[in-house]
Amino acid sequence: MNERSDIDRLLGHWLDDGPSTMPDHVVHVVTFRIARQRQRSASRLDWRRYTWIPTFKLVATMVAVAVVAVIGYNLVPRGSNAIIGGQPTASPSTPSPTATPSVEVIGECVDPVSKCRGALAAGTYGSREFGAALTYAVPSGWVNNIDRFRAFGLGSDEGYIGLMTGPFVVGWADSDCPGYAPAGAGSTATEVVASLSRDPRLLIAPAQVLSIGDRTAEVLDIQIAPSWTGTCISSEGLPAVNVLSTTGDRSGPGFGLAGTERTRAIFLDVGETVVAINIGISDANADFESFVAEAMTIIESMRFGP
Amino acid sequence: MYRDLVEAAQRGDQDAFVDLVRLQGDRLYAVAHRILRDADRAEDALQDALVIAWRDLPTLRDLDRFEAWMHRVLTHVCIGHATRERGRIAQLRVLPIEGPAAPDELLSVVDRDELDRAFRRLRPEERAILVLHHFVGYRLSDIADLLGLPAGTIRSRLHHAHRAMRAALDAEARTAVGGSSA
Repeated sequence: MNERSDIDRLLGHWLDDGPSTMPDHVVHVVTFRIARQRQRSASRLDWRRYTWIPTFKLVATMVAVAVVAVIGYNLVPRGSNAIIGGQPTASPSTPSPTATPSVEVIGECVDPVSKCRGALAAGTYGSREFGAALTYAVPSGWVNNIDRFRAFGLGSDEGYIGLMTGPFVVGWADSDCPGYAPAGAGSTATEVVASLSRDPRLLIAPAQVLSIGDRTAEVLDIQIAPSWTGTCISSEGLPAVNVLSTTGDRSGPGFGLAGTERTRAIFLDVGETVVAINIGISDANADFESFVAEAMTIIESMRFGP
Repeated sequence: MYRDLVEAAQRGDQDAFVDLVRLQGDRLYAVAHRILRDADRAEDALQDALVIAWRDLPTLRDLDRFEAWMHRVLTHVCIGHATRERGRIAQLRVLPIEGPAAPDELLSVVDRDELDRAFRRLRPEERAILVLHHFVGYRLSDIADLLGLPAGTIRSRLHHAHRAMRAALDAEARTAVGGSSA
């Protein structure tokens, strides 16, 4: 054996001996960080206009998973790694061959399994898939980035408006935020508001009443209570609260808060279900109050089907 | 291989990107650990590399090259981390391992210790080249492409790294012989 092949063999042997398993929490941390990291625009795309429904990242995962299940696609949940009361499973999951259904994806629609419209010119539009048959008016600069049966999203450079339909569960439990006990949130807007208002993890101003068309909605401004110190793995030490979800785990839409994040949540009865709307900023430099004021003009223009 | 996921992630699908992380994370972590020789630094570097990859993914033109592109991002991040840490690590004195060496058909514990010391003395780029070549299995031309350096430069740095590692083993062998004859 010559000297070169000898050192090749030794180095190969030496390098092979070592850890080869990524620590589980890397996934959680990266998930948290990319939710706050905008993608660079390529010359052929402009991603700056995109935003997802969720504040505290998990929603993006949930939306991607849940709606697929609701619409009946035979999809292995992507990113779903825990069930209530069960042990988290760290093994990677991959989409089944049917995980990419043929759906219309237009313009800058960021959700690959959705009928969202993408970038919107100023005007009035209707949802295509959302179960509550939504119409809405937007100024220029907004994007419809999700349109699924139980989730609908509008985004701008500064923030987002997310909608989802009930029934709802207060919080959710998974391997990222273990130890919480999700509880049913009721079947009417008033019951959901009452459930959230009882959550000691949250600081919520008294509900305000808002008219949306001929419907009455209840408005909550929510942030994490100063006394709450619970964290999730992906919140990197910040207090975190998984506020509301549709399934009690990662398999459905939902939203949460971390640190000093704030959200305005609006609830109204539509037929047999409750529609939850939440507003938040996705650009850390954006002014929450200003963005909410802009978003409220869009929300007040919303009309829901029978 | 993961083209659909890469394409979806490139279009902003965070779930698809997380799936890519789950699928490739172990291998990437292993590479980072080999270059940095430290679990915590490897983890930090991997996290940074993945966030950078997410940020820059829309600029990736050839989706089938994702894996190589990811290795490029990771390698550059590891080199950056190693460069920042190098001065501090160079001042640390590696304590000898006590106790009998475990049997190994190719490398004794002492050999491994010497290799580790020699490896840490290499320039970060040389470490990366060794790992990419001997652990990942890239050809020198691939490494040249990854690091943006001429192939000749890669060859000479690999040669230098081999010599340094070889010298470390030879020195250990001489010490062992001298010690046994004393």
